[in-house]
Amino acid sequence: MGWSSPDSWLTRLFSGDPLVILLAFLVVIALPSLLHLYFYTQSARTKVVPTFLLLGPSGAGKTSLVTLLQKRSSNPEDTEPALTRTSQVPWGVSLLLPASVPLGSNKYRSRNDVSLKDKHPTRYVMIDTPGHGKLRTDQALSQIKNPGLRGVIFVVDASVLGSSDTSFLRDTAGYLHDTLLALQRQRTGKASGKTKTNIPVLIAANKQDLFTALPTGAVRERLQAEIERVRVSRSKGLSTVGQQPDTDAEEEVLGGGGEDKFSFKLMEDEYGISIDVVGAAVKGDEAGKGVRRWEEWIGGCL
Amino acid sequence: MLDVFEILTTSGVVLWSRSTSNIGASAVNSLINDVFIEEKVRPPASQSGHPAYKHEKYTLKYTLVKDLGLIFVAVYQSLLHLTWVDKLLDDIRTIFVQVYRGQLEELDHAVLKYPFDKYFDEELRRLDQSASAHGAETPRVQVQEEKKISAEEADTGGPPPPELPQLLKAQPRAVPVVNGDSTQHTPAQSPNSSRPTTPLPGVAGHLLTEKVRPGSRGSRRARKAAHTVTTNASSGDEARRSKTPQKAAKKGRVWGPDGMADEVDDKNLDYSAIDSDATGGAGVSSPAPEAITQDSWGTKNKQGQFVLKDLGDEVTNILKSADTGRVQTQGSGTTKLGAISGYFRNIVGGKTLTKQDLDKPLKAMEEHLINKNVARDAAVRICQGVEAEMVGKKTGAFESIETALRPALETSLRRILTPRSSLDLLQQIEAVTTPSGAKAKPRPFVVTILGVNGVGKSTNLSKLCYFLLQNNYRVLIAAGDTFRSGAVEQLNVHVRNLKELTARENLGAVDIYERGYGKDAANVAKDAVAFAAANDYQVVLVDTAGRAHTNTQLMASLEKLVDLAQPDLILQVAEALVGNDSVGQAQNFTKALGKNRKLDGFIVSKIDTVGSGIGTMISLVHATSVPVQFIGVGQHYGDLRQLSVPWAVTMLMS
Repeated sequence: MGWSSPDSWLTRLFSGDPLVILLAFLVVIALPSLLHLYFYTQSARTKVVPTFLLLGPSGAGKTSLVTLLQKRSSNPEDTEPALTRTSQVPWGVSLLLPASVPLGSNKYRSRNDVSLKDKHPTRYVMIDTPGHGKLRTDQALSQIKNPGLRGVIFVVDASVLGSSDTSFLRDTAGYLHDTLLALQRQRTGKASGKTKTNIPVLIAANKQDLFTALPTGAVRERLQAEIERVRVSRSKGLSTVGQQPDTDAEEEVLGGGGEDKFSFKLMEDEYGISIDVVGAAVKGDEAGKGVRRWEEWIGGCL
Repeated sequence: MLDVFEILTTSGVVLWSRSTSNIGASAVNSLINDVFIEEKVRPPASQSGHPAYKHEKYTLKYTLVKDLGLIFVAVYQSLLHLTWVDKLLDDIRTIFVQVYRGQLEELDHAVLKYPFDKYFDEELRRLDQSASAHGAETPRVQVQEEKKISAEEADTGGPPPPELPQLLKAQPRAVPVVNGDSTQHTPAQSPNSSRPTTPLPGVAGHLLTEKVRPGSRGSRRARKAAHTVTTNASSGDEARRSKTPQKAAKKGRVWGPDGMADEVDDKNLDYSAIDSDATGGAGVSSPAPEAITQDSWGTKNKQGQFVLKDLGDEVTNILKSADTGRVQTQGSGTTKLGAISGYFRNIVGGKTLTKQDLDKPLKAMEEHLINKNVARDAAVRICQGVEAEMVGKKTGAFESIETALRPALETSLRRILTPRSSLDLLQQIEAVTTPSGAKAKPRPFVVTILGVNGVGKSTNLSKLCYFLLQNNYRVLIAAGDTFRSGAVEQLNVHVRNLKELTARENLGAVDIYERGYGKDAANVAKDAVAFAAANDYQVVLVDTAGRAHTNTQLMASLEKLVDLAQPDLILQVAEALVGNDSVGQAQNFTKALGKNRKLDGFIVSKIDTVGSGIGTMISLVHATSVPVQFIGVGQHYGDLRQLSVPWAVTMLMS
C-alpha cells in the first residue's frame, strides 16, 4: 500500500482504468437528476395548508373567536369561548371546518353529488394576532406575506363603532386601512411574481348580541367613510424621513390615486380584493348561528 | 383576601382562574398593556422576588414561565399586605407546570380543561397553616435540620442570592429548591414540611381557611351531612394517610384537641370525592391528557376511589429530581469533553444560551447603543430586556451568539419606537374642527410646543405651520414667549414669510396673536384660543418660552398654561444632539404638565446634524413612552418629516 507500489488501488485510480472512467461518468450523469428528484419530492411534500389571518383592534374578540372555533372543531355544538385577555404573541391554530359547511372548490358540484356525501372535515390554520397598536406592524401585518394565506378576517367590535367617542372608529379604520394597503401592495408588488392569489377580506362585525351594536350595513358605511378620511389625510400628510422621493405615489394610496371616494367595491374592481361584512357574536345565545356564517365564508375560500 | 388568581398564556387565553370580584379582566389587561407590551411601567421587583404592579386600588403580582408562555397573576387589594402571595405564586407555578406539562405542550392546549381547583385550595390551606403556625410556635429541631438542608441546596443550586435570606426569615420551614425546567432560576420552595410540624391551632386556622378560600361553595353543615351519609370518605382518608411517609406527624394534626381540626381534614376528603367527578367529566372531552395527568397526581385506593397524592411529597420529589439533574449538567459542563463540545457549538450553533455566554456580546451591544447616542440607562435596560429574552434559547445552525442577538435587539428597538396608535395630525385636527357627531361643536385645535432653550421651538412651530397651511387650514400663532427679547419679533418674521408663501400658492391663512412682553404666557394663550374661536381659525399654535427642565419655578407655570389653554396636542421639542440629559428633560416636562395631562409627542430637531447617531429618540421614548411625532431634518420650512420606524432601526443597527 502506498504511492510507490504500481499495484495499489490509488495508483490504479489515477492510471486511466476504464472501470474508473465508467464510474465517474455514471456519477456525473446521475447526480443532477437524483438531486432534482430529491428536491422536487421534498418541496411537493411540504404541502401548503390553507391559512387564514385574524386581524383587528384590541378587544374586538379575536382570541375568543379562535378559541370558540377550536372548541367547535372538536365538538360542533360548543358555543362557549374561553375566557381571554390581551394577546401578546401571534398564535397559529389548526382548526377543522365542519363537513356540513360547503367548500368554495365544490361550488360547481351538483347538490346530489356522491362525493359530497362522505366528506371529511377540512383542515385549515387560523393565525390569531395581537391587536395592540405597538404590535400590529411587527407581528400581525407581516403575516400577510404567508404563502398559504387564503383570506383575512378582520374582526371589529360593532358595539363601540357607533359610540360618540370616535377614537375607536378611527383606530379601527386606520388599522383596516393599513391592512388593505398591505394587501394591495402585495397584489401590485413586482417581487411576488407567480403567486398572485386573490385574498378576500371578511369584516366580522362582532358583538352583535350587545344592544349598542351597529347592524352590518351601518358598519360598512361608517368604515368606508372613515377610511376615506384616513386616505385623504395620509395622502396629504408629511413624508416620512429617509423616504425616496421618487416612489410611485399611485401604489402608496389605498384604492389607487383616483378621484372616486373610497368604497369596498372600489377595492374589488381595481384590485380584486373582495370585502364582505358579516355580523355575528362570539358570545351569547346566538353564538353558534352567527359563527356558522363566518365558517361558511371560510368554506367559500377553500 | 385574594381577589383574583389567573393562569393565562401569552397568546391571551385564560387557562384557569379563580376570582371573587370582577376586577380580573381590566386589571390583568392593564398589566399586560402597561408592563408587557408598552413597557410603560417597570415594576420594581419586591424583595421577595416577584414584581408588583398597581392598578387602581389593587396590587398585581405576577410570574412567568417563558418556555411555555405562561403568566401567573395574583390580584389583591393594595391595603392588604399578603406576605404569602410570592410563595403562592412560586408554588402554584411549580405545581401547575409539573402537573400539566404534557397537556401544555399539545397544540390545542388552550381549550383543554385544567381541573386545578383542588391543587389551588390545597396550596392556600397549606400556606395559611404555615403562616399561622409560624406566628404561634417556636421552631423545632426538625425545622433546624431543614434549614441546613436548604442552605446546602442553595449552595449547589445557586438561586439569586438576595432572595434566600428573606425566604428563610419569613418561612422557616420552606425548602427552596431550584425549579430546573423553567428557564428562570428562581427558587420555588415546596411547603412539604409545613404540615407535620403544625398541630393546628384549631379555631384560628380554621377561620383563616374559610376566609382565603373564595370558592368554597355551599355551607359546611351541608357538606358535613353529606359525609355522614357516605362512609367512603373516611376510608379514603385512611388510605391516604397510610400512604404518606410522615404518618406520625400527620396524626398530630388530625388528633387535635378540638373537633375543628377534624373538620378541616374532612373537607380534604371532600376534594377527593369531587376529584373523581371532575376528572371523569374532563375525561369525556379530552381523553389523551387525562391519561397523563391521572398517573402523575393521584392513585386509586381499594374502593376504587380516586385519591389525591400528597401534593407536598409529590412536589418535593419532582423538585429534587430536577435539582440533581441540574447539578449533573453543571458537572458535565466542566469536563474537557463538555468544554470542547461547548466550544464547537459556539461555532456550529444549537447551543443553549446562558447568562455567561451573553455577557460579552451584550456588553458590546450596550457599547454600540451608547455610541449611537442612546442614554446610558436606556441602553442598559434595553440590553437587560434582550438578555431576559434570550437566556435559555437555542442558537440556530451555524449561528453565532452575536447574530442571534441582532434580531432580538432589532425587535426591541422597533417595539419601543412604534407608537401605540396612529399619529395622523391632520386626522386629529379634522376630528376636532369638523366633528361628525351632532352634539359636538367645532372648535379650534390647539397645539402647544415646549422645550429647553435653543432646541428650535419657534423654528419647528413655523415648519408645522407651513405644513398646516399647505393643507388649507387657517392658523393662528400665539406668541407665548413673553420673556426672551426678540422672541415675538422672530415669530413675526416667520409669519411674514409664511404669509408671503401662502399668498403665492393660494393656500390657507396665517396670523399672529401677540400681547408684547412681560405678560403671563398662560393668559396670552387662553386669549388666543378665544380669539381663534371667534374669528374662525382652525388651528392655534402656542409658542412658549424656553425653560431649563431643572428650573422648578418655570416648570410650574406650565401646568397653568395647560389648564387655561386646554391644548389638544402638547409637543416637546428635543434636539438630537443631547445625550444622557434627554431622559431628564423628557421626564421633567412630562411631570410638569400636572396629573391630568401627558405629553403627546416629541419633535426631534436637528436630526441632520447627528448622522446615524439618532439614539436620543430611543432614550426619549424609552423614558416616557411618548411617541416621536415629527422629525426636523433641515433649515427650510419644508424640512419636517414623520418618523419611519424601519429607517430608524437600520440607522441604529448600522
